Amino acid sequence: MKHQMKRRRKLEPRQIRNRVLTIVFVVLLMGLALLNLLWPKQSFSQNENRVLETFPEFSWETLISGKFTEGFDTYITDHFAFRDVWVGAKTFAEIGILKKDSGGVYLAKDGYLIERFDTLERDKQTGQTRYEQNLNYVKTFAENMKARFNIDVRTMLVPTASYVLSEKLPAFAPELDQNELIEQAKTTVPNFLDLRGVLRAHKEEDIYYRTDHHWTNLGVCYAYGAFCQAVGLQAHPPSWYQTETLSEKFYGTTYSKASLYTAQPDTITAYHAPQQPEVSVDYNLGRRVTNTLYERSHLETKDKYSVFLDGNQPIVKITTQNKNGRKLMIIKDSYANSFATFAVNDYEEVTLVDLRHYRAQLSKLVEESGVNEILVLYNVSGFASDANLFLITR
Amino acid sequence: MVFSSLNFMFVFLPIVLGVYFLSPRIIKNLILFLASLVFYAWGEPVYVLLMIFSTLVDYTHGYFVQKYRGTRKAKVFLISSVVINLGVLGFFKYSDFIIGNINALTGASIPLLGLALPIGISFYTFQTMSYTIDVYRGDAKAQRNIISFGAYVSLFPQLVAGPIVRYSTIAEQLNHRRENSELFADGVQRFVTGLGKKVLLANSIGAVWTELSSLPSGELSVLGAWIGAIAYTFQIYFDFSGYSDMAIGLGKMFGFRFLENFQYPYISKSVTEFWRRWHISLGTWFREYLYIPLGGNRKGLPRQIVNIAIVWLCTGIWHGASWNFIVWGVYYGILLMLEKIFLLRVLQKLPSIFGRIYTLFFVIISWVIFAFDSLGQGWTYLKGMFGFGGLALVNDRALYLLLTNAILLAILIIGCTPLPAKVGRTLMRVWNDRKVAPMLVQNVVLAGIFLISVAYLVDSTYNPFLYFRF
Repeated sequence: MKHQMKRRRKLEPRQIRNRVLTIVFVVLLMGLALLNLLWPKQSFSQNENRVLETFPEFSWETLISGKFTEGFDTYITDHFAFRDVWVGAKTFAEIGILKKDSGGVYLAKDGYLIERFDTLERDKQTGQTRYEQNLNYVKTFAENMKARFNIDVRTMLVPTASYVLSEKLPAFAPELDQNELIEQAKTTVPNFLDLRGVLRAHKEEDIYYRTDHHWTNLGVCYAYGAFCQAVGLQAHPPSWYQTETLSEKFYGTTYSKASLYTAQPDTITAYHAPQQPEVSVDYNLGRRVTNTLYERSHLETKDKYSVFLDGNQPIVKITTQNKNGRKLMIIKDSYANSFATFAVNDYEEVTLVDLRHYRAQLSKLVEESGVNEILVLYNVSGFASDANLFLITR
Repeated sequence: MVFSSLNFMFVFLPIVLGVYFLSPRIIKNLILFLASLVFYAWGEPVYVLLMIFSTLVDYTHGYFVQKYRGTRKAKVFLISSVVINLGVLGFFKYSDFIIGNINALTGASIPLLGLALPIGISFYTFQTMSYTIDVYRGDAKAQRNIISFGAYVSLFPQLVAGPIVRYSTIAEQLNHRRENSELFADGVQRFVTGLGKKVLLANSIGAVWTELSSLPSGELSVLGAWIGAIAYTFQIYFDFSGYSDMAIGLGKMFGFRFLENFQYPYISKSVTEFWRRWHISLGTWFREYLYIPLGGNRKGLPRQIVNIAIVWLCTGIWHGASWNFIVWGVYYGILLMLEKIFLLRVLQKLPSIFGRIYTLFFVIISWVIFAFDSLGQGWTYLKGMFGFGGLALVNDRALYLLLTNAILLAILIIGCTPLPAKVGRTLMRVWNDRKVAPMLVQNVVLAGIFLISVAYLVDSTYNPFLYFRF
């Protein structure tokens, strides 16, 4: 007994070290395990802008097929306590070892988070790029519209921030040459509107969001000016408009992808004409009619860009009091949602068609709606990966 | 289940550790056996039956081999065990490969079986074979207790990616091990080190390889091809040895001492040395149970060359049911023969830097062969590395990856050498009598690695399991 007590008192530093290490490990392991057991479960991640996995259904079938265990693994990862802190810490660790991109997003200069655009999807059989295929669909569409309705289809492929703000990218960032892509578009598609010059001329201004892949309304304003010149409307400088700050707390898509949670939020600004026309906005063929271009309820959520015409809807028809007979249809991606808030100032009707969601026959729609101008408006990167453009020829 | 998952670390492991240490000694092996079955069933719900079948078959064979020791019957049971084990392995792993080749050769169209490969099957069938062979040779006694035997076969620490624990090295520990805080602390250190190697280093550099190897043709550059090959060389080492570290560490927590599996392979001065330092448990297995029984080097050089050829053909096939693995095995077989015949003597006369560069060069090339299932793709990539692919010498992507991974690459290079371990040991020796400093450093470093690894796992967009083909 006495001997044992003596030995206990004289633990060597090494032995103490071993015990402390064991305790630290067990406390970390059990502590985090317990914390996770008690952690409140959320169904949606605001920061990542996605629905989180629910607890998998347990049954003999799901167990045998492995669906239960697979779902369980994802469930644990998705609901890990302080998930955002861990994910954010990882980004910092990567920045610490000189990484310049995270989650497919460049951590560019001046706080810009710019989506990578470095490969083109290709058709496995023909080797043709999807970009080229899509250009050909648009070309066919333009020829059809000209022949059937004598409508000139204009096309606007907006270069993304990684081209316009290329000086802000990290050194040697392996981006695709958007110059080449736009040259290709110019030679394939009739009435192509080249925005490179006008956007590059204003690259020092805030024409793209820092935390989102879209252009800001200032960028749209310049581009709309170029569009007006092309279609014989009067172009206005930004100063002509009255601006309204819609939100100063916009954390967009590239913020979610990069998980750089210290990034500064963006400001969303609306541009109103001095005499704002009254509008009637018809969503999805009469499902819902409003009298505003701005769905302000989205400003309370993560997805604030959806404030413009309620995000991506299959078909939106805006009717204004400009009784000038000009009726514009825009075949588009989300870059056009903010563009439309400018077009309403000059058109009697603006119809937005999103081919990712609109499945009815397009040529029939053109015929029935009596439009007399058509614009195809996508950003270059989205256009290069969009798998629904074949619908444009229907 | 894999070790580098949140589910393993924060659900499975805490429960198993808790139950194991609270249970009386007599049921500890039962706890391990059941835990291992759950661990295995997690990824392979149905194939757990196959593992139980393997356990029962080898338990009974071991029993009879011992019972009839010294008679012809023992040999019959030994052969039966080897045939069943190789049969199971062959059926699940190589059926489709063989059918595919028959179809290609004869123009037949036998339908493929499309069986999913049971995870870890190459590891546990080799372990169970080692059991009956060890018993046959008298290197170990047959295990009486089927629970203890089941625990050996299914032991979750080394179940899915080794090391391949030969029965004779662990027989004693199965029933007479003693867990203690020193072994446990050692185990923690090994586990956390391995976790960091896998999650922080292997996964990070693996993303570089994935990006470069999946580029459309023409977008790769010569520099990029080399960065990719080197990235994969690092990935496979840190992934595999990290996994072995975690296995050995977990084993220690439960009182087992497994043999080492990696010993700084990339500092080797010859390919022969490389294979004494790489996946040691596999090399030992083939030496003990194939090379030496074939006669090894005791029957003259010509016979030795034949033996090397057989062993390396088998080693190649063991790594996967695809032609590139066979080419990879043959490639090493040839290199090792050349070294046996004259190269080793030449290398010994040169400064050691030549040996190291020569070894690394051939090892990097070997991983390119290893990485591509399709020989054609591998060949194209290799040609690209040597400027025969019409590729640009450098491009933006290569420079970008080099710059943004410079620190990671430096860490990887240092991590391949014994330097970090040496620094750690020296510090602990210098501080031997001090109480606080070494404790602080050790805990802060390990807790840091552990916590950052957790962060990487929480945001796990890329966490591949490389051994699904083994």
